[in-house]
Amino acid sequence: MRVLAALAVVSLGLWPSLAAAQAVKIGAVVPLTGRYGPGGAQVRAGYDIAVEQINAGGGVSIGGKKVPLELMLLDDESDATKTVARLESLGAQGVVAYLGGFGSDLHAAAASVAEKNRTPYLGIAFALNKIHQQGFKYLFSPFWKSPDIGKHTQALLALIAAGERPKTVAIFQEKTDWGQEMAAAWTEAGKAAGYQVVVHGEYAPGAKDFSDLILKAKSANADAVFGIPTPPDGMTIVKQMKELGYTPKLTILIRASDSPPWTKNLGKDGDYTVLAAGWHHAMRAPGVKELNEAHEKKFGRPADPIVGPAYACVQILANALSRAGAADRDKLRDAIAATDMTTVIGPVKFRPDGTGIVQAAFAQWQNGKQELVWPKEFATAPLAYPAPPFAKR
Amino acid sequence: MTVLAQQLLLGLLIGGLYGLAAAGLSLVFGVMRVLNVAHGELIMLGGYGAFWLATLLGVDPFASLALVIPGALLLGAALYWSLFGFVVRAPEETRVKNSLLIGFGLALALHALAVRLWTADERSIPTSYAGAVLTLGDVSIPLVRLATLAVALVLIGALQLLLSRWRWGKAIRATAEDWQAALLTGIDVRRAYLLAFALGTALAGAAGALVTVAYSVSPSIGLEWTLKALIVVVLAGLGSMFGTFVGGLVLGVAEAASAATFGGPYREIVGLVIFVIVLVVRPRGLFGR
Repeated sequence: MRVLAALAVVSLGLWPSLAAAQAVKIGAVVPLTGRYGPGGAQVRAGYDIAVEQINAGGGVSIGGKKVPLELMLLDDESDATKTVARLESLGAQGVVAYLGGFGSDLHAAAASVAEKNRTPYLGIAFALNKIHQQGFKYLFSPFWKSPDIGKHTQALLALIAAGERPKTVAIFQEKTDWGQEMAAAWTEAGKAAGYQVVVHGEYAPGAKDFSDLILKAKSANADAVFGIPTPPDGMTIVKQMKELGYTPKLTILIRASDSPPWTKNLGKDGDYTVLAAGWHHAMRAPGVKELNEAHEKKFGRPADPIVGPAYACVQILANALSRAGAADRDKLRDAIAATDMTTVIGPVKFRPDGTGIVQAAFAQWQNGKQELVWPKEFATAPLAYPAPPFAKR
Repeated sequence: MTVLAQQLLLGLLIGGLYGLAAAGLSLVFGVMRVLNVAHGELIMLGGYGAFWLATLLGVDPFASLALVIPGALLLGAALYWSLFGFVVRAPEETRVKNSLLIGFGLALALHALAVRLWTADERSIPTSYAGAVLTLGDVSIPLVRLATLAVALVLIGALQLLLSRWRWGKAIRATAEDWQAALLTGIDVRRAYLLAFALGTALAGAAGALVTVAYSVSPSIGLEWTLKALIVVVLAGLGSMFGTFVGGLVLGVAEAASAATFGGPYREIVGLVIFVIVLVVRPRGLFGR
C-alpha cells in the first residue's frame, strides 16, 4: 500500500505538464528577510490575498476557460544578486510573468533579467524613475515615481497655512540611484513649493551614526527633513534626532516608515513622520473593502500601504492575461502595456516607458497609526503640523 | 568646533560597542586560533535575548544583561561541545580554514533560526529614558549610549581581571601564548579552549543586548558586526583585551572624524583604509604582542 502511495506521489511529480496545463505560473521574488523584510512582508500579503481571491472565483478566464493562478514566491534576502538568481530559476520553471519585491535597488537589478528573458515584470514599492528611461520593454510599475513624489510634495505642503509652511529643508540623501533622484526631485519641487534646500548631505546605507547630517540640519535650523532611508537607518535617524535635540516641524522618511515595526520600535518618537506609500486602506476604489476584510482576517488590521499596490499588480496581470487570450509572455506584455482598468489603487494606465499613471497618497504616523493625510478627499486625518519637540510627546 | 566635538564624542560612544563586539572575537581567535565568522550572529542572538526579556517579562535592557550574559556563556559552551571542539583537534594550520567553514554554516543556520523565531522585522527596545541626554556646554551626551560605553568598559575590565587573577584565566593566557608548552606544564588546554569560547560568546551576547537598546536588531545584522569586529581585531592586534577595546574606540572616532571631514559616505572607507595601513605597516596590530 505504502509503495503504491509512493508511486502515486512520484508519478505526480513526473507530470508537471499536467499541472501546468491547469494553472498559470507567476514568479515572484520578494525580500522576506534582510533590511527590506518588513516591506517585503506587505508585498507578499498583497500577492497572496489577490491570488487567493482570484482563484476562489475559479481563476482567470483565458480564451473562455477559467484557469487558476499559481504563485511561486521566493525570498531574495534583500540582496540584489540573489534577486537575479531567483528570477532566473523561476524563469527556467516557465513562469509567464514576474512580480517584483520591494526597494528600488532590487527592482533595478531585476529589470534587466526580465528584459533578457522577455518576461513581463510588474513591480511596486519602486519609485526609481531612471531605470524606466533605459528602453526596457518588459518593465511595468503601477507605482508613483520620484518626479511624481516631488511634484505631489508641493500638494502635501499646500495643506499647511501659507505663512507656516516649511521654508528650509534638509535632505538626507542615501547614496544610491534612488536617493540621488529623490534629492533632485525635492530640490526641484522646492522652487514651486517655496522652500529652500539648506542642507543636502549624503550617507552610505547601513550607517550607525547620522550625527553629521543631523547637526548640520540643526545648525541650519531646517524646518523639515526629507529622506528615503531603509527601516534600520530611518529608526537610527529618528533616535539620534531626539538625542541631539532636533525636531523638524515636518519629517518625510519614505520607505523606513512604511511598515508597522516603525511605531513598535520608536513609539511616540515615530509619530508625525510622513510616508509616501502611494496607497492607504481608506482610499475608495472597488475591491478595497474585500481586500481590507481579507487582510483583517489574516493580520488583524486593515491592509498596510504597500499591500494595495501589490494586490493591484495581480489584478493588472489577471486582466491582461484574459485580454491576451493566452499564457504567452509576449502577448501578455502587449496586453499589460495596453492596461486601462480600475484596481484597488484606483485607475491604472501605463506610459510608454512602463511607469504607471496612478493615484498618489501621503500618510502620516499619528498615535501609532498611519493616517491618510493627502489627497484630501480620502483623508482620515488632517496633517499634524508642526511636530511638537520629541521631549514633549 | 562644538559640532566637531559632538561628532567625535558620538564616535567614541559607538567605538565602545565596536570594542566590546571585537573583544569576544579577539579572545577566541587569540586562544584557539579559530576565526568565528558567526560572531556577529552570536551578537544578534544576544540582542534578541534582551528583546525577549524586555517584551515578554518587562525586564529593563541593562538589567537583562544579568541573564543574557550567563545565557550566552552556556550557549558558548554548547557550541564548543557540539562544533568548535572538533576544530581545535585539527593541527593549528588547518584550524582557521575549518573554523571558517563551520562559522559560515553556523551563521546561516542562526540567521534562518532568527527569522523563524522573531521574523525579519527590525526590533528595538523602547525605554522610558530613550533619547535622554546629558548636556555639557553645547555638547549633548545621549545617556543610553553613554551607559553602553560604561557597561562595555566594566565588562572588559572584569574580563581583564579574570584573565590576570583567576587560575583558569592564567591558563587561558598560557594556552594563547603557546598551547604545547601549556599542555606540557599540565594545563588542561581543552578546558581553556572551552572557557575562552564561552567567555567570547558571553561578550558577544552582552554586545548584542547593548546594540539593541542603542540601535536595533534584525536577523541580518550579523555580518556587519562580524566585519566591524574583525577590523578592530586586526587594528588592535591580539594579546590585550584593553588593547582591543581601545582599538574599537579608535575606529569609532576615526569614522566620526572622516564623516566630519569628508562627508557621510566616506565614514566606512576610512576605517578600512586604516585597516589596510595597519596590516601593511604593523601586522601585529597597534597593541599586539
